Amino acid sequence: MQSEQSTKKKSFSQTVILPVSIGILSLVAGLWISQQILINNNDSQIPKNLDATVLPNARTLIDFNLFDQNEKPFSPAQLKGQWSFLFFGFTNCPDVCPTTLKVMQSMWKTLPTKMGEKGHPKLYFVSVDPQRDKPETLKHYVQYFNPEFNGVTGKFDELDKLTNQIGILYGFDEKDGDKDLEYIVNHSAQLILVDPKGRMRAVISPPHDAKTIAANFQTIRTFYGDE
Amino acid sequence: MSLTKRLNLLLVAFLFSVNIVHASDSIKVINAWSPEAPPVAKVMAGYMTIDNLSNKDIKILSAKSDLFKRVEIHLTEMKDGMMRMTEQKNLTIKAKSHVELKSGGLHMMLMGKLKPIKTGSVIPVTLTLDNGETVNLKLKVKVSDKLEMMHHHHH
Repeated sequence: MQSEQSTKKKSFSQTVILPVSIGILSLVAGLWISQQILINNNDSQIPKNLDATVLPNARTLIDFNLFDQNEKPFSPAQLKGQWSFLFFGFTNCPDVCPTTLKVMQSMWKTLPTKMGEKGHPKLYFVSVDPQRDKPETLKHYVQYFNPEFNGVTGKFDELDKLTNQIGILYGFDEKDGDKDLEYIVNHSAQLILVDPKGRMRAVISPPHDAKTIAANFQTIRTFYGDE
Repeated sequence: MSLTKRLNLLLVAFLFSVNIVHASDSIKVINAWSPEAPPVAKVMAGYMTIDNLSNKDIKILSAKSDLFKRVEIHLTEMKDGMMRMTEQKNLTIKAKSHVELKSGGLHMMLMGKLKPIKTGSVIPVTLTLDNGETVNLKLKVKVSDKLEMMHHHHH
């Protein structure tokens, strides 16, 4: 009888108390681990309610050597340390480019941060028309919209290294016998948002709207942080 | 002409001073404007609504301006993932209908700027129609066609 009772007791602690405590412990541990994963790696999650396409796995932009309006290098290094907006176009563009830069001019006025402050983005207008858009032209063009804006261009093969990684397309419509270089450049009109690690994080498609871009940017920024 | 008629005309003129109207016998152009562009830009756009008042389809054969080397009508459209611009030769405005030239769609492309153009000034443009008429219109150079943008400040 005694042995039977002790067996019964043992079996109670073995079958109920031990598994329950193990269960609770592993549940707590599991919750803690999953929380740590969420804190340290948001890549598996993306912010909701956006009018932008967020890449679940941000794409590091590598290996391009362009130059800015001051003829300083524009390479992956310049995309690190702050959020950046990239827009591809050309200064002889009558419709899409000035309209988009106007939108970004309005959007910039709504930013809660100032130049040099943490979380303040940069804008790079990348000209895919280096034949006509010299650094000086680009400087006057972009800074007309906002003195903070940057113009970038470079050799075609270097431009292609960047546009191919992003999925930006461009092409030229030659005019017959045109000596004045009045050709048209067709190009993708998406705005590309690059995170402070230099990774392509989101794509914003036209038609562009200042308030929507501003709201989306703050949501994405808050979600992923400024590091 | 009676005084009331005169006053009415003045009122109409005042109302349309916001939306400048240019007309020939068969077409009417409303709210013709051009978004201001950086001085360095050699190309500008023209936006407007063109009304065909007649009972016949009308084609715009050509457009020209003294301030630009060439004026064309283009269509911006999304094609193969790109914003493509294609020249629209002989833009047709159907009888008793209208065509809107606006950003992201049909627009006038003013190419090869010949002299500086300031915000607040006007760009004269002449349209030649297939019925032999010509329309002289003035594009008002401004920041935006939206009223809330009138409080824009230059920095």
